[in-house]
Amino acid sequence: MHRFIIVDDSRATQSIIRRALTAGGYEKEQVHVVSGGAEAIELAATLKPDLIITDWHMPGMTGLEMLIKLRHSNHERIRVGIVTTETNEIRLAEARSHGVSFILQKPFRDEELLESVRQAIAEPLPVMSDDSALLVPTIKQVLEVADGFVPDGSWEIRPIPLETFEHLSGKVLLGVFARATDNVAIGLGLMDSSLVNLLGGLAGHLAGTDSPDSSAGDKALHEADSHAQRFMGMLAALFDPHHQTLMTRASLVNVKLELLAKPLKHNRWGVAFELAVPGFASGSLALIRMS
Amino acid sequence: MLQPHEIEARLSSIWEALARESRTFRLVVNGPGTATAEGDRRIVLPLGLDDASRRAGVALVISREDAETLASVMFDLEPAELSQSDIDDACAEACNVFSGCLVEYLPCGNLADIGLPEAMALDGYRLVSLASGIRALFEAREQNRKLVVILFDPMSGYEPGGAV
Repeated sequence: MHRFIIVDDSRATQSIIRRALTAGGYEKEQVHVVSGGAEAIELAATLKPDLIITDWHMPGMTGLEMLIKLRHSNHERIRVGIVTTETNEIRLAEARSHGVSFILQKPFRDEELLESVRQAIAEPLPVMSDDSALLVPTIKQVLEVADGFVPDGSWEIRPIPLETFEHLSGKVLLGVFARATDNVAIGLGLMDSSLVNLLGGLAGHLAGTDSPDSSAGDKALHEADSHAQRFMGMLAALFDPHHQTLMTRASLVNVKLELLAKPLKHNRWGVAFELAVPGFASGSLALIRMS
Repeated sequence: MLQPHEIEARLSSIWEALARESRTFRLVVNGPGTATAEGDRRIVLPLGLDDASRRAGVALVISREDAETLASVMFDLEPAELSQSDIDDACAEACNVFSGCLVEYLPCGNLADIGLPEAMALDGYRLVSLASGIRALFEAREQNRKLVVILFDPMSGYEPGGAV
């Protein structure tokens, strides 16, 4: 028996979602409806729903603000899915970075909603409250790290689908992040060879020892590796505002798609970005919070 | 930024999904320009732009018959069972969904902030439509029923919460 909270200021959309859920076999009595984020948070505290399905644009509190409040409160091991007209990738990436189970564009078909709901419910629950501060880094935080690495303010960053990393070939820099207190792995970082080369080239350029060369081969890739590892290490702090997370190891590995496919597909607590220095080169980075 | 034919196709597809009725939208006015359209119901949704001194907006102008068809499907009720509030709610949500598509026709694309839809009285709507520039007007006709979706840029004469 699954419990749901639907959050939407439109009664019409509440009605559509409720009908889809009951038509999909979920019990009508277990589908609760509220019209705002504050009500949803209050109800969630007692109801402990399996899934909250929320609109984004609502009066008072947006769906994203509700999600963030849930993630930073201490009773919230709750899955949240968003149905929205929002299409801006930066805003959607922020929602993903807070562990949203799915984002569905309006209008949606009942089957699409039910498929998203079934997948969400089948996933492991989000991390418990004692780890609630350990979230996936946001685009702004990653940009700040990039600016700290090469302080010329010329970086451009944009979110890309996490699935992009399923189609990589060749070598990637794989970083493992762990809690400093007990060494338990809590996250992964993946950097494609283009970004490794870009970071190495920029670092060498800044040090006056090398000129940036985005077309570098394998040898240059290994030379760039140490700079990219330093960058990866800087990202570790973003997994935990209390700086209790460290990068325990990072190494260049040949991508084995069959090994990466599962965590990428099933772990939605992840974000991916393309980092670029305009006119020079670009590369991709993925950060995944392991639940 | 999407092309007019892509917006037309999306609007048609949105109406079909919401009202379970086929309707073909056509671009009638491709701004900048002015034009107006009047119908039984008018819903306006503001779009926030980077420049805080101006805003864009989307208006849905819809006949009583189309509004009832829409609400009937969305609430899964017979037209006779619908309240005025049901019809207003369904129209507001349709305007919201159309807006998610029309932001893609703004130069800044989906960077615009989608606001909240409000039903407007005829006088207020006339003021907005006279004071605003039209970037695009899409229309879907079915016999004597006309469904109009307008992208105002800039939108003037509108105050959030001031609608009736």
